[in-house]
Amino acid sequence: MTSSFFSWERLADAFPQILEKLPVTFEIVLVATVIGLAAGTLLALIRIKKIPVLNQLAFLLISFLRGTPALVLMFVVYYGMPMFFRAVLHIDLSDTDAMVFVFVTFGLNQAGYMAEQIRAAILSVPVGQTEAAYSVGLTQRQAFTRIVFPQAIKVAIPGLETMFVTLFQDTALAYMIGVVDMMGKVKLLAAVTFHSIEGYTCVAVIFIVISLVLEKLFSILNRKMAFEGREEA
Amino acid sequence: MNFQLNYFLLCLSSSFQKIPVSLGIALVTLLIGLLVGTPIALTRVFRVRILNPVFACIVAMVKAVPVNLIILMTSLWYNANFNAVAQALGLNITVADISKIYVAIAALSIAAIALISESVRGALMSVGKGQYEAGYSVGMTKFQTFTRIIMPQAFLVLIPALIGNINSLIKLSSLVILVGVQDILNAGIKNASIYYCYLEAYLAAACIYWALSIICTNLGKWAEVKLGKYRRTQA
Repeated sequence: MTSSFFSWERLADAFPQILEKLPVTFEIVLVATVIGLAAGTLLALIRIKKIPVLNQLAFLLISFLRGTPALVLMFVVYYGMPMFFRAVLHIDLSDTDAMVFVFVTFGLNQAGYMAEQIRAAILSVPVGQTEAAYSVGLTQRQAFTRIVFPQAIKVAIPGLETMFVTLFQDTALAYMIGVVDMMGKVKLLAAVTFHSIEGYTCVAVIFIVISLVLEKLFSILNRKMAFEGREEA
Repeated sequence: MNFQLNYFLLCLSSSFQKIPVSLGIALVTLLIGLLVGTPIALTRVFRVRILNPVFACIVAMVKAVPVNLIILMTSLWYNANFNAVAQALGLNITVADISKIYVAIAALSIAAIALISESVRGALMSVGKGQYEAGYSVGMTKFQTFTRIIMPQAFLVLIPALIGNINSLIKLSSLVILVGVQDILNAGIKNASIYYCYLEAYLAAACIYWALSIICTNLGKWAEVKLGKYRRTQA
């Protein structure tokens, strides 16, 4: 048993087939980030402007999205969304691709985390900055886009990095509702070869490479941001 | 098929009874993480030769791999090799004799060690270099400076971070479903497979995790305020 547990040949065999599914992971991350940024910014603005009722609802939603494991959230969306659409909107989602549920899950998950990041980042910019902008005649939108946002984004970057790395890892759960990503491919290969440890090793290696690349990218980004800051000062 | 409140309540109550299992897993892995993670953090803070880069590399690698993958790999290795290892050690036990919960704890501990060693390291790094120098300047030894000056200050930063880690570990403990442990999530799903009430089961589990996370978040905030106050009077 021990001798047949791991084989380099099977690993070499599986690697290209698993790597082929890497774009699926990127797709999930990309869509989730876009949804997360849009919904997260909206939630953050509701919280900052303290719009009555909506503020409390946003608070509850953010706390729920942050407080539930991605795995549980994914199944709630997977079973809940079709039920909700059928009952309320009379739309049948039974033929919908599992990818859609994955997009919604991780989009919501990211929205919860981003809302807090964005809120904290915007609140970290002193009110005096906005007041100064108004005093020189900038409109509300100009003050936000030209004065507050550039300062806030610098504060938000380290938090976004952690979120991004976590998001990549969480996407490895998508196979549980039938999406054929890298993990799903390992399952498919295992159904034929009865071996999955080699496949899992491949996925682990790919994730380690991804995290190295992300770290490098964010360190470049951080340096760029710090440089701009010094130039301004 | 619509949302059935009675099934939801049924799942909620059976999930509720399994809170000790999930909390237990989280706390045990936290303890293991602290026990193993602290020495790792120390070697990294004091830049011990060879060990520092080795641990830095291992921690970065473990942190890069999804936790569900760690659990799957650990349980695979365990199922394939446990009998042989036990035999070599002269133990008269097989895979079937050991509860799955130990496999889950072992696998989650790997992730916890990486997570907590980073928290401890962060807490120790938060204490300025001047504090060490001040300790040495009044004639304290390296050990005295560390235990009397650095540790109490690092502790104030560490506690809120550890509460955050417990929160993450509780959420990660939902992944033990992969090895079949009866935790908060699995208890609800057991009902779901009888009554076909999957949404109710997952929603019930979500609510319990939500409640636990709210408790953790508030505990963390409370600790931060409490410890922050202590620090200010110190200064």
